[in-house]
Amino acid sequence: MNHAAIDAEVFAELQELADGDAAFFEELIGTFDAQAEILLAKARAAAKAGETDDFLNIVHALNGSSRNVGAMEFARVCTAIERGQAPVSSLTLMFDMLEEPLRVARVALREYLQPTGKGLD
Amino acid sequence: MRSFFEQVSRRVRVPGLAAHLYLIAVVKFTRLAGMASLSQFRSGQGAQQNMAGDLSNFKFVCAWCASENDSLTADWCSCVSSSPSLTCSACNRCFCKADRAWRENFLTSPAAAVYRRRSTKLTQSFAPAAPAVDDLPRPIILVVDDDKVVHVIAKRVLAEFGGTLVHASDGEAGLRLAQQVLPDLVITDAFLPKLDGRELSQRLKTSPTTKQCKVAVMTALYKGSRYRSEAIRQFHVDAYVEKPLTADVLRKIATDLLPQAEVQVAAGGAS
Repeated sequence: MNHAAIDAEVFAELQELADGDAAFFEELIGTFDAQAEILLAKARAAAKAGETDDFLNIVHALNGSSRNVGAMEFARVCTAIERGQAPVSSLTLMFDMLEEPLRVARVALREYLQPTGKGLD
Repeated sequence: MRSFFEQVSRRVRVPGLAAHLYLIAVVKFTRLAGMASLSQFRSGQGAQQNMAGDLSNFKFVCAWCASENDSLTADWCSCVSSSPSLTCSACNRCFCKADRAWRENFLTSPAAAVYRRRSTKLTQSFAPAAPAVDDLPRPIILVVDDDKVVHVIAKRVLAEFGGTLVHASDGEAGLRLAQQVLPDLVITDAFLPKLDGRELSQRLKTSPTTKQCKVAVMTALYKGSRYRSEAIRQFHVDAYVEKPLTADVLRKIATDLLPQAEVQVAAGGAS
């Protein structure tokens, strides 16, 4: 995996764990992808409703999940928000910070899943 | 022969419109209550499509044999997962490992809405009847985390140790499951919905039935020696690891905490 959004070391560990099993990667990335979509929608709703605690809990969940698949660029954005280090103050603007890095990470992970499984080398 | 609607109208002794509304409420309730009630409703009375909605929307086509199935009544699969899928009644295969295209198609279909409601209900309050504890191969490892990615990784890594792997996505479900299956090892996230993982550890360790369970807590939030000491002293955890979780960390937890007599490292497991 050679993409700025994905940590090569974390991904290499997952490849070692997969040991050539394309179905494992399908499940792993598919699970992350589906879960991220749901969490993003919940974060959007929480931000709109001004529910700070809910929003931060969801960001925490996104943070942990993304680290497990090596989406470190996105994880760093989440960490900044969780620690109150975001350069914006409103929840809706914090949510806006999440969308693009997560989109990039999801695209990078999906591109890794080649139909023939050739991406596993 | 009177229509079902007329029968209900007469039975509940209310005028037509009220009976109509009553039936809609009954259908909605039975859908929420579970498929057994709905099966009785449908089989006893005959489904009225203008009452229950278009029943064809509940159908889905099997990913493997293309048979048509009903997402309202299809059985859950037996895969050990916090998100089980449905089983085809024709070929008996589930869609846990269906390809991406099929899953995307299913998840955007009307049948998926029924599946999600059933899945949510299953996760939140309905625990499938646990097999007899004696029937479960040991070691029994319980993983409690609201992050499904952790479960996918844990399933892969912990398969090397043989035995039985069970999953829960929140602290309360984890506690109930632990009380049922008496796991040898519980690996739990600290920050969980409903019941904190450290609190879960304390409850397990202070109960006569579950105090023998080893408990490892994973955390991305409560990092540092102060939290570690607190976890051990106050919550009685046996291991305290910081996230992100790696395969090596999981293996070490299992190797260190499982009773050695129970550990069966499968030949040719992932390195």
